[in-house]
Amino acid sequence: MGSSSDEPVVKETLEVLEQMQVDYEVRVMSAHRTPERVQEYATTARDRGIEVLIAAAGGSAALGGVLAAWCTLPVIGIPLASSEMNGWDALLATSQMPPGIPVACMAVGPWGARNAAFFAAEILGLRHENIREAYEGYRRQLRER
Amino acid sequence: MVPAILTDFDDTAAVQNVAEMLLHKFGDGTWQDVRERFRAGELTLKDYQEITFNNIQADRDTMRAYVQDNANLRPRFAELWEYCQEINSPMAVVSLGLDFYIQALLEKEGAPDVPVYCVKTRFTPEGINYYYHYAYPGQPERGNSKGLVVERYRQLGYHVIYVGDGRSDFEGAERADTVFAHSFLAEECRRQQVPFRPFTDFGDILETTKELLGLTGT
Repeated sequence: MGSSSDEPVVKETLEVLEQMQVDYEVRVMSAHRTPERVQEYATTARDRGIEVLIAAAGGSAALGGVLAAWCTLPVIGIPLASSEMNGWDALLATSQMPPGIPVACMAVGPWGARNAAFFAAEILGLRHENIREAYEGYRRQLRER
Repeated sequence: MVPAILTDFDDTAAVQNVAEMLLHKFGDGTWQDVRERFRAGELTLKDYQEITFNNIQADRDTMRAYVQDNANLRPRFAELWEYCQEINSPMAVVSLGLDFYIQALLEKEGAPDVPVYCVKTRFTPEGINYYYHYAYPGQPERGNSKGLVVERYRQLGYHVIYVGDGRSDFEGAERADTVFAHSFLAEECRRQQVPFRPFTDFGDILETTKELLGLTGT
């Protein structure tokens, strides 16, 4: 996430990741204030076994795009409503990536935070059976409600 | 010049060899024979580790709790990590060991966010699955490569400080800019004329980091 103030929304992502049996790590880093840390994180993530990145950021929300620029892992962006523009700025910044460097842009705020985890589970479920089963079980529950 | 500190885990970041500590406590009667086959060169470290841990009956949480009750990080590890955070300098654990026990000890010692390069595991009803994410290119049977991680940080332009003790650390040490070594690694560095510094705790590495940054008079 771009700032520790994003934590309340990101907590929704983490709860779903746990439900989906996805191992995760959480870091605070800013594409503008700590760009070297973002570069190091993105370029070494694959070697540490990370398979999907989720970036939550508000305002100019460059985090997802910069992570995507430095690696070829799938990046999921959660635009946050943290400025006077209530997330419109972050939504456009996260979604309007140039061709070839995609960021999968979720909805603004808590819905996006939860869907980021579900989308990550869909990607990881292609390779990890336990995650696929957890996600399919969740979808079955939705249908039965 | 920005330093990046990469440290081995068993017998280096950790005071003990945590993997062997777990095998002593939870391993079945065959693990020491398997270790002898590894030491004799009949098995790779990857095979030795997988065979011995697959024979353990204890679950992940039991082993994590045992590590947290019985193992320790070498003094001043957490202080070095905090300093690296302050100066925006990378620090990571580079180990051929297993994620669950490394993470358990880092959490206990107040450094849960230290990046870790290691063997990722998943405990399933059928046994443990192992994932090697920085394996030797074209040689997956050898498991992970510490040298590969060192090269990655050097390519990013960092001055790599490598800290280690064992046989598997040499490929990291010979690629690093500054080496801290003890035990086998120190002997091997001496034998192969790779310059190194001895260390007792992470305060030694902290001082060198400050030297590199020009923050001390030496």
